[in-house]
Amino acid sequence: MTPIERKALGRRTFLQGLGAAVALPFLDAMAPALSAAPKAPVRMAMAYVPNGIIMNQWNPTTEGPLGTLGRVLQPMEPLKDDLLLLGNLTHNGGRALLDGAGDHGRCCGTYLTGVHVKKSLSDIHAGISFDQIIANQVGKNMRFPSLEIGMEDGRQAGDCDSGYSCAYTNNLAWKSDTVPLPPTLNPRDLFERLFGDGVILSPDARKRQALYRRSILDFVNDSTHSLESRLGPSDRRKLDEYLSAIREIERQIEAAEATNAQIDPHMDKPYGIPADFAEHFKLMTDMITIAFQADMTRIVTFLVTREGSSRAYREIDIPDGHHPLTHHRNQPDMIEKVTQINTYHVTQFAKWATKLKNTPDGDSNLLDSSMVVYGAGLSDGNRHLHEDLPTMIAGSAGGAFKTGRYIEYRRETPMCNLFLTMMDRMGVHIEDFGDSTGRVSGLDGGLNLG
Amino acid sequence: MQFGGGGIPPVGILFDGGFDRIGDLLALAVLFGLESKGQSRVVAISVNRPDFAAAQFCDITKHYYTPGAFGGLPIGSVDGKQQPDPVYAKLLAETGDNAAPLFKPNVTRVLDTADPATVLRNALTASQPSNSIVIASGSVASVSRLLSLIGSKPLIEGVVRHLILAAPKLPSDPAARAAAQRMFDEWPTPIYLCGDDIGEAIRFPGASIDKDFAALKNNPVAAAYRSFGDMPYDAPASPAAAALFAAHEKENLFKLSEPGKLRISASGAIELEPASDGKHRRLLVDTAQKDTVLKELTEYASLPPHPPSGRRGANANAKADPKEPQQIKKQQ
Repeated sequence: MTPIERKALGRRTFLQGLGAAVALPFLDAMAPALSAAPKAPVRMAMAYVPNGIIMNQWNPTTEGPLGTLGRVLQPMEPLKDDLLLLGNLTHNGGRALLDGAGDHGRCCGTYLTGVHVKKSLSDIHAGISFDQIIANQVGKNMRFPSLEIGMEDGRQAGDCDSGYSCAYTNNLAWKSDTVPLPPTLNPRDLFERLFGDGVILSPDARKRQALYRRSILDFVNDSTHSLESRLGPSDRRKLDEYLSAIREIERQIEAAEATNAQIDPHMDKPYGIPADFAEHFKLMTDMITIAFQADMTRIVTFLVTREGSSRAYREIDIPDGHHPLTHHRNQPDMIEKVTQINTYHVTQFAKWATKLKNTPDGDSNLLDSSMVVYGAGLSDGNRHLHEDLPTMIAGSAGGAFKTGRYIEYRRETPMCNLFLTMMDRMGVHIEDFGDSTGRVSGLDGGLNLG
Repeated sequence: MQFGGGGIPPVGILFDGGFDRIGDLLALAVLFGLESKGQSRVVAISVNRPDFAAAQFCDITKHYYTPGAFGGLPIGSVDGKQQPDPVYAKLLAETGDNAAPLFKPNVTRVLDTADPATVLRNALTASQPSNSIVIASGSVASVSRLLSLIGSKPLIEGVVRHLILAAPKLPSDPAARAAAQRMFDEWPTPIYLCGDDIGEAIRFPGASIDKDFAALKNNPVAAAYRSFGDMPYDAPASPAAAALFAAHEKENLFKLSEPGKLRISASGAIELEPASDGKHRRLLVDTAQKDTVLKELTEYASLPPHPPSGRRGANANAKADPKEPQQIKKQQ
């Protein structure tokens, strides 16, 4: 870490205090005098939702500029010009390929790895996920090479789908063929990872700490004052907004912990995890935003809920489990409920994308600097289809992508072709990945040749 | 392409053809006839020329023979500047009662087709060990590209019994010829050459179209046969012979040459260079079996459509004689 007493602020400057290390957003003071702000780095996030999507409410009917979005995507309507929708991308590895039942287990294991995972409860075998290939190169100088975030069920063992280990359904990122990277589910754990000294505290220890601690920002007070004295008015305002955002996250976590402490101890929610889906989603994505803003990491995977999730969505008056509903057998009432769940998920994503768009980043904003993919490992959850996977990219990857369009590729185009293109954009160039047959074209507005 | 039943299913045939001659459609008719009898399965069809209308007609043919089937892989079709064969435009424009199209394609956009090599590769990933045969009719570009895809070579080695080249046509482009030679050299399983000589000797009788296909209303292959030449004519049937050989290899309907290695001569011809360690052979006409071959071709080609037996497509769950793959392997 770079000490603050330097005359010119380094990009990796931290506000430091006892047990705390708060990275900073890009400030004018970090740019050399009389020079333009450096181009913001490209960030990448992969957000995954389970059980497929009601596809006739997702895909546009025609290629080209986006018209009125389908019902599931309606929450993205204000952000339409910042989106790319991609059609016909396929994960052949998610298909049965002689392995029988278990599409949920396979599709999640395949999603970022591109491989046909081994059907097993104990001898798990997938492949390194493409985010980790990037992390190994781009992330090595970051505070966190990558962050793995989730919101439900961290089990790593047991049978989660027809003989497929829960390691496949409950993780997105894989460090190697056999080592998944379990997502952080608890907002407090993530907060302490981002701003603490690396030690995850037990609930009891947290309670004791809360007796004397008001905020993590209290611990970096001296450091903050010292820095502020060296900043111009614009940077001071930026810093104040940034620290306020962190404080707000902290308040929300404390509120969730207080709520949890008052409710039924038998409730199936770990301490500190908000019971409300939207609240949990907002907390986690607020922290991802901070992590991107402060350049703590450039790579995030976000397993919104585990593949095959049977979570009920009482927040929107749907007491039925998500997964059972998706096997709707074309019953309109069940399709309607799945559509509502799909739309509810996208609603939360839209709020996050809006926040990214409203967060300055160099001479642009965080959404423009990023490529945030929202997608699923199944298209039709009723029939367990692995083709035409729902794929939305928010952000232009630093202006590289021409957004506001729907690009339909030829059928069977490997999803891994998109991953190769995304790796290129992150500065990582490899020949093949998974079952790739090349790269996808047209993201930059050129001809789509599949 | 996927099957959930127990046992080993009948051999899966992947057919990649130019479809600029009736022989390729006749081969499809034979293959669907064999499928209806549970003797093989059609697991992939691709067009190795940029001719979208041909791909549409392949899809029409597939749906004619397997009505009600859904799922499975799309038709493969080479993208790029179109080289349409006028026969298909004419067929697609034909109308029947009430001026309705006689042949209505389900595939209406190039986007609804797929890259041929990807279709072939994805079909092979769903194959049991040594239970697929690839037929490349005309161009060998699709199979060359298949071989070049990541992970394809070991996949082919594990699941493809052999590749059959039916009346191959090589381009004049030296780079493409070099790629074809590389494919011959690197293809990991046996290659059989079913050349033009087979087609010259075994001609599908035009009379069969009027006679054997008479009961098949609006049969797309019969309609195409009539459009590809002035009736009556007997069409060279190398691709259909390759299809029959693929499914009935153990019946010894053809003689085989001594082993060798396929070489592309300076003039662009494909020759079999004798080599005792070679994995390539040429199919030869067995005059004693010629009538049997013709009889089987006409019978299988004119079998009626069959409904799918499984939700993934025709005969997806059909069981074959478990001894069959072993018997066939012995002959290789």
